[in-house]
Amino acid sequence: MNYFRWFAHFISESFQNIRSNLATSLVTIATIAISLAICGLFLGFFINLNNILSSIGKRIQVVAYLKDDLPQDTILNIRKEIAGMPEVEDSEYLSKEKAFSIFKEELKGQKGILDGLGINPFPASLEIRVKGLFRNPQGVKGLTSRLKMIGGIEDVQYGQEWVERFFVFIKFVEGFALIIGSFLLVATVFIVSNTIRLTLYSRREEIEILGLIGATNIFIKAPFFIEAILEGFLGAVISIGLLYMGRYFLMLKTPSAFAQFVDLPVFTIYFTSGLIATGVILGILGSSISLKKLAIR
Amino acid sequence: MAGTLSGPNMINMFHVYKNYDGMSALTDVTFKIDKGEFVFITGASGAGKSTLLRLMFYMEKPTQGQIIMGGKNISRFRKKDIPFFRRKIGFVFQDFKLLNNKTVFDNIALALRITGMDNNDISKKILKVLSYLGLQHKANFKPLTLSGGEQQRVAIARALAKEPTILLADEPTGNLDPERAVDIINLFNDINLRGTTVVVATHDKSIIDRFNKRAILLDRGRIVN
Repeated sequence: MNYFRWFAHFISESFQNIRSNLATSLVTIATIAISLAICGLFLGFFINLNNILSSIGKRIQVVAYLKDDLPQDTILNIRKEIAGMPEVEDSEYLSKEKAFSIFKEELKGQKGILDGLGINPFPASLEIRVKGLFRNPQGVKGLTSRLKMIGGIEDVQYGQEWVERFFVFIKFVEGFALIIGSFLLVATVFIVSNTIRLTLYSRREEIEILGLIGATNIFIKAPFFIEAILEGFLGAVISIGLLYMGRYFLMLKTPSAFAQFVDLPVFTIYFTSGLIATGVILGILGSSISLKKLAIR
Repeated sequence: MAGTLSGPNMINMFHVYKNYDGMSALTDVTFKIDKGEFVFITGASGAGKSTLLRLMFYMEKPTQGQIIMGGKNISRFRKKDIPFFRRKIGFVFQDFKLLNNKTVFDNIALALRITGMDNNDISKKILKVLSYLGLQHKANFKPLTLSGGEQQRVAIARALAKEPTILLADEPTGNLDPERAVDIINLFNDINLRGTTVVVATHDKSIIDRFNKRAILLDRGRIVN
């Protein structure tokens, strides 16, 4: 029936409200923009750190040393069996000779050390890269113990201490980010809802009059709701601008070694759409909280 | 639901009490107002005139007692019934309660738009009511650029535009000089002759003497006549 007419009315009311209460609207938009920029800065750093950590995580590998003098087809069977394991991304075979020559290569100037050595002491090995899902101490341990049970494998190594420390560090970073992130988000919702409540307070007379002439709750609240969503959207767009500028200046001053960390992912589609969605949700949440408290007589 | 307001008795109050923080504003108020009647509610300041009108408009709830408006017991209303009830009653507030950032036209239009009326009908109704009140040339003015008497008439126009069954007015002559005051009451009289039940709260004895209407006299929250 009248839904379209009402919707048109709400939209035009919202724009009219923003225009006629420009100062309070600007304060709300600025508050949302700054709050979101802070959240975005934090999120950006977190994403970068996560990317760095996951690229480090890719280096986790398990090395299976083979017994000497295994026939070629036994090695082939072992490789096939390993390739069939769920944790394994891929594996690379390193023959005795290759291992020795890599070692010689690494020694370079001090080749003389090897002169007295009549035999090749290096075992053949398989360097196994682990799938992302299993790049954690349990995954790696599970794989290692199953590798040890394969006949023909002499020993398995995976830099146990390093892997465990690395994952403790990741857990710490994630926990830290979760706590700080939730504080930031709660604070932002609180600030935004209070700013919107100030807007409502400055217009309590208008709200009262609407109630007195017989406007329904929805009719009274909808324009404020739409207004808050618009302000959330605008605030988010401005926060993206702020982050872009922030990134630009940070990159100017940062040595290239840290660039990967500081280079905020401002213009990726997920980041921008995430910020805009957060802005809109902030508007919805902030206005619902303060509208809920609004008593209409 | 609010439904239509009808029945021979438009307003019925039965043993109504209203206390504010233990202070009694109305005590055992019982009266009825018939459909199409014009009634003054009078008494000194603080006698409870405004409280009585506010109870009729569901701006307050009685502490005790029943209020029947147009056959509906409003103490049984749920929150969602209130807007629909208020659309059937015109209330002219002492302080007008106009939106100062909207024009005269938009102030009146808002009262109609909330009912879902379409824009053509809204325009027709507003032009009609503005010319009835002699305000057609003020349609695009904002309230604060108008005189007190003009703002009063805009408030009346807004109340009339929705063609209410009952018109309540709280001290409508309070801010006007005697001549303008008489004009306003004449206007209410005219509205009453068209079939609307009219209740006017006033402390102005000369107005009541001049118009030969029933007056309910309040003294410290009690009806005395």
